[in-house]
Amino acid sequence: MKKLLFIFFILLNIGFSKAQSTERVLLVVDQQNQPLVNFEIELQFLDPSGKVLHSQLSSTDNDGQITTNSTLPISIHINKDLGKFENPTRSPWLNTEKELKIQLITEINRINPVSITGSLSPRLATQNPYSVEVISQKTIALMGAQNLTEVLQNQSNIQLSQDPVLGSSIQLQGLGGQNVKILVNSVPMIGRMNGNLDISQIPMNNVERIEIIEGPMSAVYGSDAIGGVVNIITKKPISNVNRVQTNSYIDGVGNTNIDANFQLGNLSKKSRIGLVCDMGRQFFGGTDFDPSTRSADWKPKTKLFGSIGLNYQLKKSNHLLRYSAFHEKITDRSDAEFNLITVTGYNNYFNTYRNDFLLLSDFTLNKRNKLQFQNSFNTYKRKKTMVRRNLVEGTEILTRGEDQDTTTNYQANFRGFWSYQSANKKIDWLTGYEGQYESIQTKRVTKRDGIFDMGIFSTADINLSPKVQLKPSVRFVYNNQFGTNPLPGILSNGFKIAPIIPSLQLKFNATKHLAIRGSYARGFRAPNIKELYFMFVDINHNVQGNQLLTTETAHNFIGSIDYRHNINNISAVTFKLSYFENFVTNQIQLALVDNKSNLYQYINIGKMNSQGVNSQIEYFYNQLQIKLSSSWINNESLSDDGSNWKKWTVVQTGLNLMYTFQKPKVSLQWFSRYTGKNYGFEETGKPFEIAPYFIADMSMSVPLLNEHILIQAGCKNIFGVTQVLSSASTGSVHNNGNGNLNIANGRNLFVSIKINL
Amino acid sequence: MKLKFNPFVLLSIVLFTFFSCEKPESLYKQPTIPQGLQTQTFAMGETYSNQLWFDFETQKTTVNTYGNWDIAFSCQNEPSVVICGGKNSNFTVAEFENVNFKDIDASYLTAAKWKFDQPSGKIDSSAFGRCFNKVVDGYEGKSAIYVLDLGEDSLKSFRYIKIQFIGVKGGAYQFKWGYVNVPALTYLTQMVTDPSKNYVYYSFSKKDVVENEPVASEDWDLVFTTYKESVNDPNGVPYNYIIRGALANLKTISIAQIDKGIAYEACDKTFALQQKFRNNADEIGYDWKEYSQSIGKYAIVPNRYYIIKTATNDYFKLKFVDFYDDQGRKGYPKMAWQILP
Repeated sequence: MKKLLFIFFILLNIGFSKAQSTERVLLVVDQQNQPLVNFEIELQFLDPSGKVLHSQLSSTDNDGQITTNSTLPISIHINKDLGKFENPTRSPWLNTEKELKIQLITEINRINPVSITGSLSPRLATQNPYSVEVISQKTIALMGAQNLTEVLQNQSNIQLSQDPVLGSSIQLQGLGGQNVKILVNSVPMIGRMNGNLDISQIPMNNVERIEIIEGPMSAVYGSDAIGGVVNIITKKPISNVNRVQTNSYIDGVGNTNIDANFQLGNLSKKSRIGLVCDMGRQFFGGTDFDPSTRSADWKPKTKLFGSIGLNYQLKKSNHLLRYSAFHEKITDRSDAEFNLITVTGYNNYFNTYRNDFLLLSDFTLNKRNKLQFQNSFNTYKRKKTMVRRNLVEGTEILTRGEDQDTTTNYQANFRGFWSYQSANKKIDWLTGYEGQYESIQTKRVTKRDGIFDMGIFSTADINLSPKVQLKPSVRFVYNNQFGTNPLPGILSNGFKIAPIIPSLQLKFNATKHLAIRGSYARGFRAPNIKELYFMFVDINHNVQGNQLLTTETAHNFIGSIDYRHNINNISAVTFKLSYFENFVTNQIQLALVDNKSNLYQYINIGKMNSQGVNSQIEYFYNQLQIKLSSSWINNESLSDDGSNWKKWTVVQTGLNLMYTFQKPKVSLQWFSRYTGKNYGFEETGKPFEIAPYFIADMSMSVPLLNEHILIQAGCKNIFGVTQVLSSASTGSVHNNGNGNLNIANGRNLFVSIKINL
Repeated sequence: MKLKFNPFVLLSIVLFTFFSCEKPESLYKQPTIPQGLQTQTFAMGETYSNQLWFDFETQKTTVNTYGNWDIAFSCQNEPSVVICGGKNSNFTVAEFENVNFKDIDASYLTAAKWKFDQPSGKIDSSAFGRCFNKVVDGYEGKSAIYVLDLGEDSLKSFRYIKIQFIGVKGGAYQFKWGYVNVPALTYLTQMVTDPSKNYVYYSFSKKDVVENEPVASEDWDLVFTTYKESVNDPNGVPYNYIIRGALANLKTISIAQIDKGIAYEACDKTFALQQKFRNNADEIGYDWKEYSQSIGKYAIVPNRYYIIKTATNDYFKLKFVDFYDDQGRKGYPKMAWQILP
């Protein structure tokens, strides 16, 4: 009875307190209108004359809010290294205002940027128990990068492969192709060709930032995230900010690009709807290292793209509806055939179409509970058209039906999260579901119905002490193609549970500046439809899918130390050293399985191990920024029967320099990367060497008219690298077979003009 | 400083970039067609179902369906046996000495040393080799027993054929054969040769002669057909490779392949007379085309052409100009040639 009375008394007290509340709420959001979690703000409490009575360092809660009961005016201050105000904010925060929202630009937070990948709300990267690398909009602009390939080629921990037709693909932690998940606004990108996504199809005109997480994120993002995750965050409307931006770019190798975007923070004064819209065109005329041939080493490309996003903001919820479209046309010409009578050749036209719809809704239930629902629908279509061209007359005839091919890929993805923060802020819990239906239609895939994958996952950030943070995660997966029946005889044979995906991440704040992280994660990748049902058998080909494939699984271990120190107002240093080990089993690869019938089939090849060290040191002094990074990655693969053992090591180093003069505010940039001797494998499994190369870009940025105009000029690939020697005995499908591998299209002077209105 | 927005600047940038388009390809100059150039397309078909027998002198082409045979016996000069054409998917032979025909069973297959046939038409490069010895009244077969692998496409029971050549007498081959996996079935077969043909053909499944050579051996120079050759995999292990190309009639022509020196257009009889002519049936073969990975099509090897010497000492220069028809269908080799006066 006493206990009941005590509880009643407490509840009454709370109710009374509420009734008498003088609570005032400060909401802190980022450029995306997303609440900034655990963000430190200094509140200075003022007397009526404006004199500071006392100050208090507070951090935002799970909703990005700071609550105070003070009735005094408050002056708000932010550490300039963490961010700056996006829109003019009245200061002080008057005591008559119950609520105040401030919007911050956080990308100036040079040693501790904000990230969102793997969590529901933006938070400082150092607060994650896993390591996140953030490439800010500013850095992307200074690189003069036009697409994702040009950004990632300056990252030493990422290996890039380029194919003139299939585009660029990446490797993270020695794992590539299907094992790296590319997300756009946390939605998986579709349209893999030969297992790879062409990242050059992601224009940078509308990108807010890029986040890279190395190591498996399968617990949160499901299949394909064994090697890591690259998440591209696009711009979203900002309240009360209207903006028009145009970018134009031209260079010496034939790129001519233009794009424009505009945003209306609020469609009208009272409206809560914001609009952001962009469109652009990128044209590349092609590069041919041997002008005597008709075929080009780098194929001509034209890209058209655009997107429109509507943001509807309510008091307790925010809704974003976004649609984006993309079209790319590549022309691939064969060499001319002079046949005594006339001259003929073939043209292949590759047309790619992407349509992406996204509906993202955030709900704030109360101070500790949030919901997010993310529903997306993506379509991808790649149409190959082959014509035979009479080069004398200029006429074209469509060749036989077998030469034409259209691949259509659909994906419906729906995710939901519930995030909960405990009252003592010691536990941030994120639980969610993800369903994904993907189908592919092409004449060479025999299965018409798609693959359905459903996952339930849960992850928690547990602050065991101010120094120790633990993040256990688990994902339960159902896949209509894979898994085992947990209760055979009881459940129907069709009911299968795929592997349970656990992970455990640990962060130890050894000192104020030094964090030590360690993690174990399990990764998995289910075979895709093509690997299961591909069928290309004719008189010259015998390539078949394999319905007996099983899932790839991986164990990943990462240990890292992360030192970040703002030494004083003008200098700061960061240092990061990480070591990883990946043990992949049942890796899926296309292999020649029978010489006699020339049968190539997707098979689980056995084991694939990779281990490596990544290091990065960054130093800031006034307006100077120096970043030196390097990576060493060792890969081993072994067939189940031990017959096919391969081992190769890749070393990369990078040096980036940026300096901004005070007056005039001109910036100079240097981005460079050395890629050591690399290895590739022919279809037969025979390894070949690729010679080392060094690529460096240098540019200068000049802001004019109060930064309304930014002119950037420079030289990409200063040393004119085009091809490197390769010991491959045959060329790849879209590469030359002359012993050279295309790396870049040569020294390239460029100018770009950005206009902000 | 207040920004003065000038729409014309923006418009000119937009127009400039939107007007940069892929340049239309310049037209090539029409080649000067050499005088006396003759061309012909040989419609093997996309599935290569047709064989085309061509005679330079009459320019007559005879078409028949690709033969359904397993083994062919030479009708000319020294007796020989070939297996590198035909329908079956393999063309390997193993030879066993000092063993009785009836004793050969499946246990022998594990120790078999398989030999591939080569399409040159020469006895020494064939899988059977010289399997006959001359005797007074003809030829008698060597004492060896041969096992022929017809390939994976055959039913397992009928895949391996054991053969013993008895001899060639009175213009007829006589041989005993049976199935390795079905010892009870043994056949004694006589193949009567036809002096007007190069080979006579036999099918084990039909247990009968198969018509495959529709014209007399004097009346054709080249045949466009499907045949097989052994190539080595990356580990040096040979395997069969099915190819499409032109085989020469060694009775009527000999061939010189030219890859360098003088281009086709400049080749004259003086140059032709300096060449060494070969008597290999596959001297033209299939490698006048090569598969282009980049476009996914066969392309004609640019500088390769051939000089043909006929039995009557006439000379032609010959070049392949296409492997596709106007619709881009493969299996339509087009040949251009000129008489060298």
